[in-house]
Amino acid sequence: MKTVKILHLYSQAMDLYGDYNNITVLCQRIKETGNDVEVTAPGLYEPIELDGYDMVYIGHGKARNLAAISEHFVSHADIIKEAIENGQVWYASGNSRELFGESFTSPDGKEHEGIGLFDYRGVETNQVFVCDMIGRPDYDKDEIVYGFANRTAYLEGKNKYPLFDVITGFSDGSAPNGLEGTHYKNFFGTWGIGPVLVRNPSFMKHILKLLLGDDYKECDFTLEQNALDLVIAEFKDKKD
Amino acid sequence: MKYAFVALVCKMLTLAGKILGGGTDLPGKIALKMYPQIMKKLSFKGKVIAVTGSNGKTTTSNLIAHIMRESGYKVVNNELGSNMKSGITSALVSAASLSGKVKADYVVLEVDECYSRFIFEDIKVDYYLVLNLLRDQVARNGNPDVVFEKIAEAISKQPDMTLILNANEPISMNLTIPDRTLYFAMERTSRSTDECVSGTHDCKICPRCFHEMKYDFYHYNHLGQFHCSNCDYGTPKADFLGTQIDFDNKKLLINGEAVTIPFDTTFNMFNSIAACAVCSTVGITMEQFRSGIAGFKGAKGRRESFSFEGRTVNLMLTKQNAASLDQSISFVLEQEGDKTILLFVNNVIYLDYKDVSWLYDVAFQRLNGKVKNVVCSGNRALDTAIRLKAAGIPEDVLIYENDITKVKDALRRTEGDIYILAASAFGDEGKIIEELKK
Repeated sequence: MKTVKILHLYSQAMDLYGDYNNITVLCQRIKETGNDVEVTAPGLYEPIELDGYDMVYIGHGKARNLAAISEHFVSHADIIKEAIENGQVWYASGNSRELFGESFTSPDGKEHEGIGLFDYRGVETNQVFVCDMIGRPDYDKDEIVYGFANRTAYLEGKNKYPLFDVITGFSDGSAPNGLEGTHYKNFFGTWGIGPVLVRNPSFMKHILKLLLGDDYKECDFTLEQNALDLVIAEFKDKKD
Repeated sequence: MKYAFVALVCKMLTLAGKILGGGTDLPGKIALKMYPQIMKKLSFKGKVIAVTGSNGKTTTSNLIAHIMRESGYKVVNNELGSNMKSGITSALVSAASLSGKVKADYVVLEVDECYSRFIFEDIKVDYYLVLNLLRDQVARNGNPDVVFEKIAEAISKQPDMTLILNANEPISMNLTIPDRTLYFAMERTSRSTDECVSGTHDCKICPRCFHEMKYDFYHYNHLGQFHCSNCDYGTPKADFLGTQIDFDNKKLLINGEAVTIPFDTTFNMFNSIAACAVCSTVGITMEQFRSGIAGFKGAKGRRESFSFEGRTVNLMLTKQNAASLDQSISFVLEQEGDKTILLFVNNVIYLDYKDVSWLYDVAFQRLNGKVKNVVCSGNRALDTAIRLKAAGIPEDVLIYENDITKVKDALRRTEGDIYILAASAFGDEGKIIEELKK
């Protein structure tokens, strides 16, 4: 039996669209496999300590909140990059991905530094963009994943480490280019917000296997798979 | 001359719409197409009041208009909730003379949060009531900060306008302009909590300095008495304060004066205090307010009940609004007897998005052990069931049925009064109601 330790960064500031429920349900699934889990959410602007954690999560937040926390995040750039390079599991949703690029703009037009792990740049538009997406994840091209973007920014630059081959829907940039998200070592980033892990059994299983290794056991995903199949069928109906 | 012609067309279409039962947006839409500057030609004899916010703008604007009419004033308003530019054009142009004079004592306009800025470009507004900002129809509006910017833009177009803001709501209160802002607030009630019990909290950090926000108590979601842990931003002394809130007897004091209202919900206590703030500011006496509000019948169609095989069915409509759904859950939990919830969730409007992320902002865990069954329907029935499972609702309590014609049978397998929380509010839930009434 394993106790998985998850660090939830900026839980107070990056908290839109029920996204943290990915972690709530991940915890339920870990327990379903007979393992245990602990989630730590440090206070705002407390020093970031990554040692001892199996997984780090940052959610999607208001654009001004993202700008406000970025300096604090970037001041830990060295340890964050080192942890990701060493294979720590990270899940970053929505605009939190901007923190990992070269830089990004905020609603007031100011430019903010990222940690520079990826060479993209975040561009704030102050306009709401919403879109569905279905795509094939790079960890298993036989699977299809559903995501929903609700964002006011996009990423500019070449997507070197895409997570999804998009079948239909949004990409990282301002226009669709067939690629979405980031999968680099065990870092996962997507513009998909809300219950991405909850609604996509293949993605949840992939993360569970990474976290649990030999302690992984199969869970019952019947309801989730049926629900996802219905979603995918609706896309097909539309095309026909 | 052009105004008179287009106004005549608009008036005739409005009249035809009233007779034939058409929408209230269309005449304004056509008028704006024929004459985009038409609203600029309007002049007002009386004061213009605009009402906006994520929750309560239809009820509050109708309430204000009702109280003013009962007080003997001539009032023009967009009663039917057509709150975008075309609906407001319909309402104003059809009420104006052919020379463009709106001869009402008061014009009370419900305006959509995102569209105020387009309306404020054209007409002079004297008072702007902003009730609150919360996550609402997120696929349309994004988050409250995005809406905040649009309202701030609207305010920038009206340099003389008085703002009336909610001192218990830190996001919209940040619209404050010193010397031309009045505040309303409500003191702690029997329903207030020390911790936020809603699924959504939109203001955990200060919108001014981005440090942690502290709350002495919560009314609902992030509304409550707040103060920043770092800067001096906090609930100020309110100009209009509701105290001694008595939900059971529908009574409260506003600035020390006793008022009986036709409501018993936290939302509507706030709406009543906000209406009082507007009415008092424009010169309605407390006596007139008291007598006006007593006879108010409320907004139509949001809550109704009927019978299904001897069981009471309560219908509660919400848009894709987590705060409203949380309030509906609070209402259900306060009711006596066995209960079954029918949760109807469809795809998100216009482009048929399959998103249900907003359901993850609702505190469904509060239903645990308190209801006999939850039946999920609509084309996102299974995804809704997954959401409820995530909230810890046991699988044997959950029934999911996305075929509307089978919902009746599903309900027969349940017990207690039925509460339909229809979270689409765009027509399809009507089919379920028809099925049940058959």
